Amino acid sequence: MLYLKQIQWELFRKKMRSVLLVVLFALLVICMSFYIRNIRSTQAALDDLAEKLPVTVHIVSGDGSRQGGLNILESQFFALSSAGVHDVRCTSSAAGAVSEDARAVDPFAGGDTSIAGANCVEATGIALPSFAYANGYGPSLFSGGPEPVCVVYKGFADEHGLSLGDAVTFPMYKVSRKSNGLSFLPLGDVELTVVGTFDALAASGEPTSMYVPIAWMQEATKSAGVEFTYGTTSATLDDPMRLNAFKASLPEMGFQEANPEASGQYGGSTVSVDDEQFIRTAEQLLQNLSLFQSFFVPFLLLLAGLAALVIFLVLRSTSRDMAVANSLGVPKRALFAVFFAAVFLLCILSCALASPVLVFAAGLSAGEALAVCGLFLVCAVVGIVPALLSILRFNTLDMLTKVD
Amino acid sequence: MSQISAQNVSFVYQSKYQQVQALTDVTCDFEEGKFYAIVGQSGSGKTTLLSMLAGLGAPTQGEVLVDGVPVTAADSEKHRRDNVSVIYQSFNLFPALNLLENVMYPMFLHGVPEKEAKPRAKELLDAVGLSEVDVRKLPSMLSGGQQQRVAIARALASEARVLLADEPTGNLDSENGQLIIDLLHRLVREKQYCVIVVTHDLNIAAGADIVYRMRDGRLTREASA
Repeated sequence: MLYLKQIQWELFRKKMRSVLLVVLFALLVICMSFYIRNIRSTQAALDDLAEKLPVTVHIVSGDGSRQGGLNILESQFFALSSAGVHDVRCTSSAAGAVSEDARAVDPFAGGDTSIAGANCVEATGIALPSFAYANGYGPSLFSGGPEPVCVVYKGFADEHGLSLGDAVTFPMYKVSRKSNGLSFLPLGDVELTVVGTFDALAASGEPTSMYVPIAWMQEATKSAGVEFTYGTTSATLDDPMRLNAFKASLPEMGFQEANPEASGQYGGSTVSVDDEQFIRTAEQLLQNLSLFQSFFVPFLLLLAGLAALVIFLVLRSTSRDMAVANSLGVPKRALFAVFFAAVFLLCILSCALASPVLVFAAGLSAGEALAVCGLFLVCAVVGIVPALLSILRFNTLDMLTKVD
Repeated sequence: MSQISAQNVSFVYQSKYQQVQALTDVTCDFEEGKFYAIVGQSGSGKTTLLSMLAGLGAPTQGEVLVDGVPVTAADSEKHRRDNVSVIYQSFNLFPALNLLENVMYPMFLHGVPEKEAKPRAKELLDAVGLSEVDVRKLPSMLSGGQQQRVAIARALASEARVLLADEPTGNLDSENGQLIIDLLHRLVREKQYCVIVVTHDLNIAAGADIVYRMRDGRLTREASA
């Protein structure tokens, strides 16, 4: 009964001391929560980095200088697109002669119509709002099947008197780029229905007269007995944190290192990875995370040390009361238990008071706040024990025979 | 029969730079119903002997016995709870507890319920002449003499039969000092307490039944009343 009463006296008869301890402990809990929040937010930033800073890979020319106008073989395209990537974008180039004048040029030298097959709107490099579609059509036409439809540049449509729903028939040629220039391989006459228009140029600035679904262009090329190649291919890595493994697998996929002496070659023999920003950011985040994690245990020990110091400084003045109790026959171990319980209760109260700050200011979940409080209580115990043992090392008689 | 005694007690302080022989082969008996004074110069070992008797220190050699049973280091706290009460020059009351709680403290330590402890504590405060004082006051609101009376009431509350007093009047004026000494004499006379007072005051020694003198750690019986 005495010990319970003494705990009660320690808590409520020395209110200023109790309030001071609660405030100081609450500050330590909040410090701890912000430290843990930093670890958590850095880890979250690292986890989200692939989404925030996607790493794109491009098939490029042998010397690494060109991303477009290439002759990328289907085998190269499939090798890349099955290597842990998503959001694959590809285009292929063709040319045509829509006007009578252009058709009259023999041999064909590029005609009046530049045609690009694309597997998605994003592959065109033109902003989405620049496109307008006929009823029943939309951006999904590019990723659909081999439907003979086209989306034409507004200026081109005006020039050739084309409107939505019109059918346009013209001879089409596969464009193949070689070191000595362009070559055009005839694919025969094709008929396309105009199902959309666009009124902006691609970001690359290359004028394109019309876009068609790449699946249709692939089919048209193959049915003419001509080998189909892609002009551009890019994709986004599924897991940029496995960047090194991806790069290491490139030779197995048949891709080579960029070779400056391979200029003038237009095959898609090399893959370039836009990873500079990702690596820089990821390294920074990993460095921060590693720093936070490596200092976590020292930080906890520091907190325990601070708790010990606070308890020692605040309770030191109580050592005389402890000595009086000891002289009356209260064992020091009982005094330890009483003061431990009193301080521990104040720690719990501090946690309860700091919890709203943890949840609303530090942004921790209830479970995380509970974990922080639990961790703080462990640190507090580590601090309380040496502080009390140190305070209780008094000589009772020396303490009590001091004259005020 | 001896209530408390020291048998060949020696004690050596181990300070940082040297060993100090504070007590040398001290043997003495203290009986119920007698008032003892231990006198001597500062540093002669009076307070050290008191601490040995109170179980606040363990002799380097020899032993302290209560009713013939040695007090060991392991049961020194029980010894202070049950056998001896110490009254200090600086009162050593609990500053955050009121007068009643200070007196009830040893009773709580013996497991006496508050319902019984409260009237008993009031009786003890009355017995030491504090019947007019508000028992809800804190010690700091009282004079030194009143605080020493509360300390004596607390000592009586433990029901120990030996009162050890270390310069109990050292912080009091002569009038209050005399009142405290009278009170201790009354406890000896009426309640058969064994009171052992460590003091410089020769007047207190003059009123004692038995006077011991400490000199360089050695105890000699000086006079009988």
